[in-house]
Amino acid sequence: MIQLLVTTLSNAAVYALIAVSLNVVHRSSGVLNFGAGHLAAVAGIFYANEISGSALGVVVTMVLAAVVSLVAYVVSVRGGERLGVGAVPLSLSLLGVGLVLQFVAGELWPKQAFTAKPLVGGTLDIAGTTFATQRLVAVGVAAVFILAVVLFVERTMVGHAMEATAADVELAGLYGVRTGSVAAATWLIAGAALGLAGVLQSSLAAVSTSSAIPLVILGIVAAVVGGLGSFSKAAAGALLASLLQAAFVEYVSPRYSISLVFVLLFAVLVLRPAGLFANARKAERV
Amino acid sequence: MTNASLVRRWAAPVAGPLLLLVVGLVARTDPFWIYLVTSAAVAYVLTASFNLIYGYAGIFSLAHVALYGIGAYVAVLLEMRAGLPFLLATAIAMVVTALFGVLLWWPTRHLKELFLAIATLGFAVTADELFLKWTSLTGGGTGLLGIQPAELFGHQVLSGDMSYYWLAGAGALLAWEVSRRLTASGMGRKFLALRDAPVALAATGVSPGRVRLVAFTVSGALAGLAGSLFAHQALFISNESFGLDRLILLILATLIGGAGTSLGPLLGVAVLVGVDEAGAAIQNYRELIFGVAIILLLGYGRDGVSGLFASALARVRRPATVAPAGASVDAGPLPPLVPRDGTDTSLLTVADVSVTFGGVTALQHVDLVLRPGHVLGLVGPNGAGKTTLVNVVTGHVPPTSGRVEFDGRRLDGSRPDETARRGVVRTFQTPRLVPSLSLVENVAVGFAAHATATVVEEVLDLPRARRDCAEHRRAARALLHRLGIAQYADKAVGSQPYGVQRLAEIARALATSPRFLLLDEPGAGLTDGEREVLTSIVRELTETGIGFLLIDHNVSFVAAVSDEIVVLDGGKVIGSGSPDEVLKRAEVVEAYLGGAA
Repeated sequence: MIQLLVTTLSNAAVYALIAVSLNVVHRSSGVLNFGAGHLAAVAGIFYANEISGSALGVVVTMVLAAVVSLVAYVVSVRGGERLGVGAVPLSLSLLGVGLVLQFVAGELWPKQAFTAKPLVGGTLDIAGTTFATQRLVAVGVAAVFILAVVLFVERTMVGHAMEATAADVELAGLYGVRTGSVAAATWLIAGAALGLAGVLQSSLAAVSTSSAIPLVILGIVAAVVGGLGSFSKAAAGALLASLLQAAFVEYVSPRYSISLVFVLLFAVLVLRPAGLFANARKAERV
Repeated sequence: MTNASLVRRWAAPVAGPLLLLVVGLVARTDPFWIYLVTSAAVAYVLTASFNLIYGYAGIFSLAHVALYGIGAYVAVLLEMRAGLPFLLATAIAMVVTALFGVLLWWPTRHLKELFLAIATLGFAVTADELFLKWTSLTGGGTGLLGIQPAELFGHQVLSGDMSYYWLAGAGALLAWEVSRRLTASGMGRKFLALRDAPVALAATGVSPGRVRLVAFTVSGALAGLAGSLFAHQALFISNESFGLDRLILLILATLIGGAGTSLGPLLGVAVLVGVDEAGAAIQNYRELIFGVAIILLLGYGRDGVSGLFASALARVRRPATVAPAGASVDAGPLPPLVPRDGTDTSLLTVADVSVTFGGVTALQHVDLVLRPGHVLGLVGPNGAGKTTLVNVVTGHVPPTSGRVEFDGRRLDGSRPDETARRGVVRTFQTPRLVPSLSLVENVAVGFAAHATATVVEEVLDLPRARRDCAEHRRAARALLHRLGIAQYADKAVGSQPYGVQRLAEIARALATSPRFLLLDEPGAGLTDGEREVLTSIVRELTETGIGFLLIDHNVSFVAAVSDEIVVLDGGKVIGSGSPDEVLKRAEVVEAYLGGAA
């Protein structure tokens, strides 16, 4: 039981980071980053192979992922946004970036799964169950990061500028918001979150380019289940999705873990398309 | 009859079979070519079905390849496990994939396209997992071996033989014919409207959700057919053929070929078969090529690379498709504008309606009554809440409190297409029309509610649907004539002046036989002459019993046609009465003209 809980929490940490990253981008541009899984996976592969096991390595990976995310925006989204291209084609365009990343990773590192050195060594005993300390550390790190993003968006001027730009780009521009810089900040934050997700995934389990699609799907499900638009609800969605997944893997079958999550997604879309935790009156986005 | 419609009637039905025949005869001596053209025929069924749902209807169904895979597995398993014959198994597979299309449609029918993409992507990834891991059924990664060749009327149709080409060709012909008929019919118009202007579609009373259902069902069935044909050509299937890779390639092929054109899928086939044949050579660079191609083709719009090609083609073709000016104004006898008897007494009441957006209050306790045969003018400065009021009545914005009633039943809470079907129809501040369709076709969409043919008849363009279509075009032409814009009837809406677009939108609204018509700034952008036509039309229509809500900034225009004027300021009604009396009041003058000058 404890084991299940810890697995759930540490998986949720990864999904929540991806969901928050998707949310940050979606709020500002209405686009869903279908390439998020690839960026997280490749970040994890980089971290595991090059600089794993150190705090500096984590930071370097996050910075690199942030930069790649910004480049992805410039290459695959910005031009289309100006041309008035729809949200779905732009989301797929980001998947194109993901495929290019997958190619690059395949050129640089062997095509296999990697596990990083643990973030923190040692084990903990809780109620007679032993597990790696780093699992708890991972949950803590993810929670702190998400909290920092929330505070940043809600409490700082840059955050308010992001909100304003998300609501109405042109109006924000007229009020003197540098919408270009805001977009850059948005994609940098989103990329850093994916970098951290990759680090945690490679530390807690294993990561390969074939993790990319499952990762992004779970991130999307978490975001949609929680309700796109809120970070804390996305985190709650991640928790629910990973709890269901962990319980299913533990008690039913480890085989169809994506199918199960998909059933959850479908149920949410049928019953409460605005998200399980959303205020029903605010279902405007549908 | 114009050249273009001659081509459509005679050449298109013949072109498909002819192409199939010629290709078959040319390829027939060389086994490699036979294999290649057979693959092409199978691939065509897939690209044509995707072109229907994505190219024409604009639905980004990322589950299409999954449906194709399901079709393959279902057909093969029915033969291997249940001993069903090829034709029956294939037919059942098509029904199953069509039903899966319905399953995908159901939760997403009213959702925005991004959520549809999410749901279908989820479905695709799930199907991929099941294909791989449900080994007892699908054989997993090893796949299903030992598929028996298709058997038709006691004859084995061997893969690699010319006979299989003809079989796959029959499937391709079916896909060609269905695509051709559907796009030529009234349903084709609705597909394009769904893709380019879903708001306009709903405004005519057609439920976008139901049009989506048609797209999912028809393209789903064809995807199943493609799957079965593929399985019986390859005689081996595994999850690899139906993964995300394939989906991406299909999207690319459709875009390169030209989404939403009849030749697009044919060109797309060349991409699909070409990449398959180049398989080994590009294996290591697959992700790079696909990734870059996706960014270029999608990130910069569907008009990116293929759009350049299309516009170049259009430039070459244009002279042939434009009807000579004035040649088609012969509209026949004018119908009464709206077939209503004028004895309608039902009211449309807005009672105590308030709307708030977050902290902003757009409307506060507004009461209004629209009467049949009456024109209610609604004036007020910008931001007074006029358009919001129309949005509330037509179901585009839910009221925060209060209610809208029509015929003694609640109207608020209905979707825009439902209110339009009940006879409350609107136009928009910025005309919402389908830019790629001509004026006649746009107005014909408005007649959809009067169709006598069933959906199936419409999809297959059967005689009754064809009669509907002709009748609607004729009536649309008459309406345009009546509004004085018949000379633009056959031109694409997108390139017409603003005033013409406005009148065309009003014509489309009239085509639905409305009981109440809500015109949001109909006079803006019209010339004086056009405004006079509009004034006389509104007057004439009131005599047939249509009630109007008219928003406009041109006070003399509003005063000339209205029976009553309501002034809105800051979301509140600050005055109402007859035009003369209202426009003299000091507070109205102040609110509207900015202080007593």
